[in-house]
Amino acid sequence: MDVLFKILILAALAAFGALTLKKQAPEFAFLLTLGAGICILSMLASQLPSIQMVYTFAAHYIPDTDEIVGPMFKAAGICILTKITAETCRDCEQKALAAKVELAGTIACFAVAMPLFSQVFAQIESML
Amino acid sequence: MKTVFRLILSVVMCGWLTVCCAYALPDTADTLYEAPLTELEDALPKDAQEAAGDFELAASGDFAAALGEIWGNIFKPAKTYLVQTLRSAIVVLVVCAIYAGVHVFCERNARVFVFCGTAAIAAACLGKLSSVMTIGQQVLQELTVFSKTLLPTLCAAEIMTGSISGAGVVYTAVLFVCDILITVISQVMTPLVYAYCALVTAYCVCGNEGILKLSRLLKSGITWSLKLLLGMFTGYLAISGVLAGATNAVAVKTLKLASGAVPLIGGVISDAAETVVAGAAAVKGVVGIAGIVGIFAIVLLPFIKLGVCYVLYKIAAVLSAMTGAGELATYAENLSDGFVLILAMCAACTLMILVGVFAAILGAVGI
Repeated sequence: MDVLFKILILAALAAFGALTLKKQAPEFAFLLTLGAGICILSMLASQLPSIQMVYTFAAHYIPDTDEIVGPMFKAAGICILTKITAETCRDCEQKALAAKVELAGTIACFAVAMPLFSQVFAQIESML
Repeated sequence: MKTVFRLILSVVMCGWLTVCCAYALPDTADTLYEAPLTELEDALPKDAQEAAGDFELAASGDFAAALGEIWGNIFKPAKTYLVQTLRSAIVVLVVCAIYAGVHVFCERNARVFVFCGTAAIAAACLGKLSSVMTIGQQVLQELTVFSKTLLPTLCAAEIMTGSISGAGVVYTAVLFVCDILITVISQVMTPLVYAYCALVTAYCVCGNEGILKLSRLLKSGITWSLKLLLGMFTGYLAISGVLAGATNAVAVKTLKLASGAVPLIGGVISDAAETVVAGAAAVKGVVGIAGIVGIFAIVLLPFIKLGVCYVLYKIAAVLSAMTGAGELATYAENLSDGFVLILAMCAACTLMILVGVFAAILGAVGI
């Protein structure tokens, strides 16, 4: 809860500061929001060990966790990072760049899920 | 003098015939009990023999105890399978939960995650579906082999009770429809089940309503075909079996009346015939119960496995829908319907053989 309050306050202050700086120095406004975003993500990184503990616990009891659920977590992470980066680009009014970032995220998701597709094709081949 | 001589000869012959029947019948009955039971036990596959355990319980006619022994023998493997399937269903639930979280945050990239989630659920479920299909086909093959040993034994005993045409009807109907059902299931319905799974996977990926309707049509077609085959079988037995049974019961009663009209030794023949009929009915009853126990030993564990798969994946789909997984939850639910189709195929064949067995058992009392 403490981390959440810090993140909320940091985000609110950064948004206000960016709004103030946007008219005089838009590039500094962008840097302010970018810096606030990085700070927020670093605060969230401190929560990752608890998620990793749940994943390790699940992997101990469910045999397919690494093969099936692992790529899903990776794909979820790629989607989240892609979303954040694309929105940052749109904040700078760079929609074309945002579209390219989303395309890269899509391809990265497919690349991460390739082992799953291979597994499905192998099972279909065994059925046939 | 001649009359006295004939009377003494008649008494001696009647006494000799009665003693012969009294000594012959227990041995005959023992032979009648042992040989069919041994054949039935040998016709069971190895797994079913282990599940059935002591076949003497069935031979004693204690159906409840025999079923209890089967349950005791299959409980541990069923529990192990339940745990394995539960783990697989939890994987489906976790994938759907991750998708639900991603979908809330990144709606633009959620479609990509549907592809990945579909692949994950397919990887978790298709292997299980394939193994379950193998279990179903194995059950059908084992039931066919067992019925080819059980039904001739039952029908032979039914013939001994006088239900000649009834035995023929049951034997012909069960084996004929069983062969048709096995052929249809292995050559037609199994590929259709795989096609159904492929269609629901395609629907999850692309969202085309036409694909969904085609998959529902396939599912309905499989269900209607099974109902049609079972309906034709039971209808044929109802029309042919009942009439044939009534005719034979009357014939038996007529024979008994005719044999009772013969002087001096007529009564002995009538009593011996009744004893043979009663013994044959008793033998058929024991063999019938042993046969039903054998059928349960073959199908109970596979049915539990099929039911466990269907229930657990259905629960995972329902819980996934509650998390807001959307397309992936629907996909998991549609895949669980594939398991119930396999269960329906095995249940149809089992039901048909059980109806035939009961028809053969009840044929002795003229029902």
